[in-house]
Amino acid sequence: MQQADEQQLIARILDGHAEDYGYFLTRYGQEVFRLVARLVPQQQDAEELVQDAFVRAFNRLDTYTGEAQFQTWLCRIAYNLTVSWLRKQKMKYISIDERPDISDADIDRLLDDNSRVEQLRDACAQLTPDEQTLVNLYYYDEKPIRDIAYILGLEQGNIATRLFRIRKKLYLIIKKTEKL
Amino acid sequence: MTDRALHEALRQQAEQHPMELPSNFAYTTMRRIAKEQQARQRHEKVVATVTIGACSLLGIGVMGYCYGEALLKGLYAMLHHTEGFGVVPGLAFCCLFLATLNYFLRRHFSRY
Repeated sequence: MQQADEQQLIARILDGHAEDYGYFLTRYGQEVFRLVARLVPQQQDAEELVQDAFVRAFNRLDTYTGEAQFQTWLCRIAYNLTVSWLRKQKMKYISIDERPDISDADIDRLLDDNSRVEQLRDACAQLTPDEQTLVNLYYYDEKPIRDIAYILGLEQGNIATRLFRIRKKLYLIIKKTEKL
Repeated sequence: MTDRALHEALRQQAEQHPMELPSNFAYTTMRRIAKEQQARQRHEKVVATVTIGACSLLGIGVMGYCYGEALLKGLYAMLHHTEGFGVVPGLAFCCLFLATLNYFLRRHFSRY
């Protein structure tokens, strides 16, 4: 279904055909769930958050202006809900001194080295929720920068800077683990 | 920068914990939405009833405060001059007619 068709469907839902909302649940449920499940370890919590996101989206359907695709809009709502939930859980994340001067070549080499995959997997798990989401949306889902910026509520220009900082942080986490 | 290892790490991370939504997710969510809609409609109805009631009471209060004395005087005058009641059957008929009309119109248009 194209974006224009989805807009028509949304208009129908707003007109009182609430049952049509089931289409969006079936179509985008898994994608939104994948986004949430990367940050929330428990399946049940993730399911509840996804349901909350879809209910909230339904209640605010009249505020959807079509500035982004509907699935991106849903992801943004789900992401914000998840981050608030994580804040309430008071989860602790690793903080790294990012001041050391490291050459881009060193970072590139490490992130290209296939023997480091396991270390990188562990290092990714230590990133903050917004960092994990950014990395996954960019590298795994390969979403366009515009959509990533919309979901995370950032300026498009900030994404590249953030990605650079995250790559540096991953490098530092791995080096710190190696020293232990 | 290709970041091949990072790509692979994220792919493995996703495959390590494959989580899927239960098959009844759409059904349970739609049921929750329906319940919330009903609750919201009930709430709106209660708020509307309370608001209308409060406004009516306020209106009657204001009328009573501003014109209470005059109204009472008029009522006394009506009671003392029995011919004042001549308008009552006419008014009662009008009220009955309007109430019947209201009933039929509501029945007719509630289908749309």
